[in-house]
Amino acid sequence: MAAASQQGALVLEGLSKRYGTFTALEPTSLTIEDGEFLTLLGPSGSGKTTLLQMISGLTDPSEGRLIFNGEDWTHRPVNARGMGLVFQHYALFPHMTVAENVAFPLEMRKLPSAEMKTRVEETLRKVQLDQFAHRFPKELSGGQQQRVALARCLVFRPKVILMDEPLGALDKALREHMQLEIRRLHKEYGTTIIYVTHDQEEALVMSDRICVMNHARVEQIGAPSQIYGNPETLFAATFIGHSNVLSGEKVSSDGDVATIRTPFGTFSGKHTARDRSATDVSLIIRPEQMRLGSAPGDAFDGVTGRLTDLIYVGAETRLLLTLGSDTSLTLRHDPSAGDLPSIGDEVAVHWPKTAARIVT
Amino acid sequence: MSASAVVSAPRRFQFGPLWLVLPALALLAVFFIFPLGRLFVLGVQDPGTGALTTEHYARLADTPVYWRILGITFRIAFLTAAFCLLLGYPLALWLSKMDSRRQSLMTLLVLLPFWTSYLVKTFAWMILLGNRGVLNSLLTDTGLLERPMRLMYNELGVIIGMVHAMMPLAVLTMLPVMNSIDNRLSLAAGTMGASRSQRFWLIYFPLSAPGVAAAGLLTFITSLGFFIVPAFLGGRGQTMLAQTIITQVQELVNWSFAAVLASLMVAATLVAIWIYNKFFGLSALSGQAPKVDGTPRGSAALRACGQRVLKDLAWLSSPFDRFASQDPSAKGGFSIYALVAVIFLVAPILVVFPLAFTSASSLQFPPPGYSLRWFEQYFSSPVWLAATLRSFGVAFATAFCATVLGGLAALALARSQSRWNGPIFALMLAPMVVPRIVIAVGLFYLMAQIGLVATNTGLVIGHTLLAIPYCFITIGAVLKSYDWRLNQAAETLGAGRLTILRRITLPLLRGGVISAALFAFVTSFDELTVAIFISGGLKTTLPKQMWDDMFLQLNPTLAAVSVVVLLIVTVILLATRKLQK
Ligand SMILES: Nc1ncnc2c1ncn2[C@@H]1O[C@H](COP(=O)(O)OP(=O)(O)OP(=O)(O)O)[C@@H](O)[C@H]1O
Ligand SMILES: [Mg+2]
Repeated sequence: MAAASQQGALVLEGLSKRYGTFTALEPTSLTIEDGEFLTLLGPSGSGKTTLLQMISGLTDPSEGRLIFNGEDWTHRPVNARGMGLVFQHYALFPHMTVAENVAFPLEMRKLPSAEMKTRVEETLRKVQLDQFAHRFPKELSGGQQQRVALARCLVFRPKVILMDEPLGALDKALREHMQLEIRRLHKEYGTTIIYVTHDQEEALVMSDRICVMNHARVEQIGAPSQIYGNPETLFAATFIGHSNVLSGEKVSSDGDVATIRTPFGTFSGKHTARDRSATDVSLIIRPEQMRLGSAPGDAFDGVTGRLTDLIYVGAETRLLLTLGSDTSLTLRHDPSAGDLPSIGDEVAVHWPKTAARIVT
Repeated sequence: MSASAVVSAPRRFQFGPLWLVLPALALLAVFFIFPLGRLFVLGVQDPGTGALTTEHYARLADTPVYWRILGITFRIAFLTAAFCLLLGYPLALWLSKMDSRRQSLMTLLVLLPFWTSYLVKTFAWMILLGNRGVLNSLLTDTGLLERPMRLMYNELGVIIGMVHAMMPLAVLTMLPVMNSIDNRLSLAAGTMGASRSQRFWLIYFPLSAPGVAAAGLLTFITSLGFFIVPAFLGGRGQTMLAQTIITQVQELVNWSFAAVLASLMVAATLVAIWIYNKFFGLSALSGQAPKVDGTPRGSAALRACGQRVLKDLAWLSSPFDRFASQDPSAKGGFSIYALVAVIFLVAPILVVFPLAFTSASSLQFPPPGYSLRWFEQYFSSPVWLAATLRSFGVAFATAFCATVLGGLAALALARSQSRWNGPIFALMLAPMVVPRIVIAVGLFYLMAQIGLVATNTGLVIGHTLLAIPYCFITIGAVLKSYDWRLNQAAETLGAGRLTILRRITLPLLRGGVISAALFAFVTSFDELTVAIFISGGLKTTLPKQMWDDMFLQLNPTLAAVSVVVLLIVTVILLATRKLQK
């Protein structure tokens, strides 16, 4: 990646955070382009909030630099960054009404009061809270409070918006509505958005790129399809979408293809592992790539296992297979492949070698 | 991703939040620590040559009368603390069992006597206990007694007055600890088969013990340095250490010996605190239940011994369980006790009301008729009016200074994680713990040298010193529940530090800040000890004027003044309560 990046880009150079001996974030380098929608996705405690807070300036990094638009912003005061931050815990001012909360950033920017009023009304309408303008935060439900927090950030149209699980407390319908609203805003104003979520579906729907985090570090960063199709690590493969995993030892690799020996056979697949030299690897096959029946040719690999469960989930049926004592596979039943076997049967499954991935 | 070199971020130079504590520290250093140190040195210095000497201590050791005074002081302080705990514990327990709305209402009945000036309380007891006082008149008039009983100018009078003066402090110290006890623990013990007495002695009482100990400590060390009650209600045999110090300074001008006595008093206080800290930790002093971290303080043997005693107590009181569980009036009996205790605290103060409106020129009870003449007398007396005005002025200034200094210090400690927090915390509370008489004498010595005696500035400094701990604790308590993330939110929305303070922090802390100011106001308005030394001869404050008058002669004007003081304090108290809601 070129050091001199595009206008308006946010560049993190080895940004890290330690609390005493505890590392909340390992040195992290990445570039967020102008107008990009980047999602930080990862389990609780993986350092998402920490990373966001360092970008916003609320937390001083232990090491590294933050560069915005070519300028070093590592130590720029928070209130001079003009980034919008939607807090995980809302942080609404309890002594101000909803309207006053939303007007606050405009007041700080000394907007004329007439304009302020229309902007506040317009923004509150956008989050469907116009009739709550004169309530105090503690008189609102959790989801309503969350929308106030969102409105308070949107109202001053910051260039960069950082959102820490902004939709966590909303029900499904409202959540989808707000997702669309945020997407629209992102397109309309060309805002750069860095978005934290636990919800992988939300991440897949909204993001230009997803940054998968685990254990205080970035596991993989890329477009949703890239991460889903070519995971680099076992964690990324299992955290986004469902994966069938066969663990084993790498026996050979040749360019983009590698071969792995597992207790159930030796298979080959595309070598996407981040660490090319690692020998402890896993074979990943997405459930939709697996078919019933033995491998029809050289381009396929296959195993046999015992069918232990059939799960009906509306449109499709999932088959659960057990191999050996502690490995299980899931596949979707394809109606064109014939009748459903019964529980307890020994069944063979196969998949195209090109659909398998070898990761660390 | 580029493996770009990790550039280490140079640390920004920041004024840490701890700097905010500096103004308060400076005041304490100059007008508290330095004078105390000076006083200590005076005690081991030859007044002529300045050489080190032990002669003053030797003189103390050689004079039996001082040993007696020391003995009496400890005896009275100990008895006062013991009675305060014994009588105050059930009252605090009764209050803690109420729902919070009723509790805050009933607590007013304890707060009112707490904030009532010691002088007014003592004056009221003089009216009640005197040979021709209210109690004796009632008893002889109804024929219950032939001759008046001797109720004051003896140890009985002193103990009654002292317990009345200190009991509110004891109750208010125990109450928060009791409030924090989880009631389900006793219930759980009940399901495991514990009887009523076992539940109380083995579960509830040990959990409330930190509050009891804190209350005992505070009443004991406050009593050690007390002089108002023994001066008016005691006889020659009840002269206490503080009175002796005043005599040494004001009449004998024997600084060295006064310094020796003051050092002894501080030493006794420190020993009491040390013992307390060893077993309970100092945190319970500021009104929070100490953290129970599973590592009991004190030795295992002591703990075992304490448990033995508690088990015996449970066994001893178990025969009474039967009454309690069957007779619903047991709860009634408890309430009756609480009622009597509240009457003991409040009624004596109320006695000044009829006497302030008497038509007679003596304090006879009941008054033969009613009139406003004593209020007229008060409002037309230039001496009283000047004293009242001065007290108001000094109290306002004190409220301002103490709130700013104490508030900044509380803010500093809330925001910093420095290892200095502990010592600074202790220092901020120290003026509350070191006997006032010692602070006053030390201040007098210093201020006499720099010309602050008999000035308003001197008084304000002295009172600010005494009020800072209250402001520090009050504002510290509201800061504890303050959500600092709101500051971060405001910052990301573009607000600078001052704007955040003005628009977010102060409005949210307003209630606490105003109560702190009112507490400081009342502290100064009621303050006598420092005023005795610093206010000077002619221009005095209201309490000092009352003190002088009470020595000369008890008269109904004093009752009228007491009523005015009581009303002012009550109004302030109610205002504070309203703000804290
Ligand atoms: N002020 C702090 N002091 C010490 N450790 C901290 C501090 N703040 C965060 N941590 C630790 O850093 C790690 C990362 O925290 P962070 O808040 O970034 O997690 P997160 O990914 O946002 O999790 P979640 O999804 O639960 O919000 C956690 O283990 C947390 O305990
Ligand atoms: Mg988080």
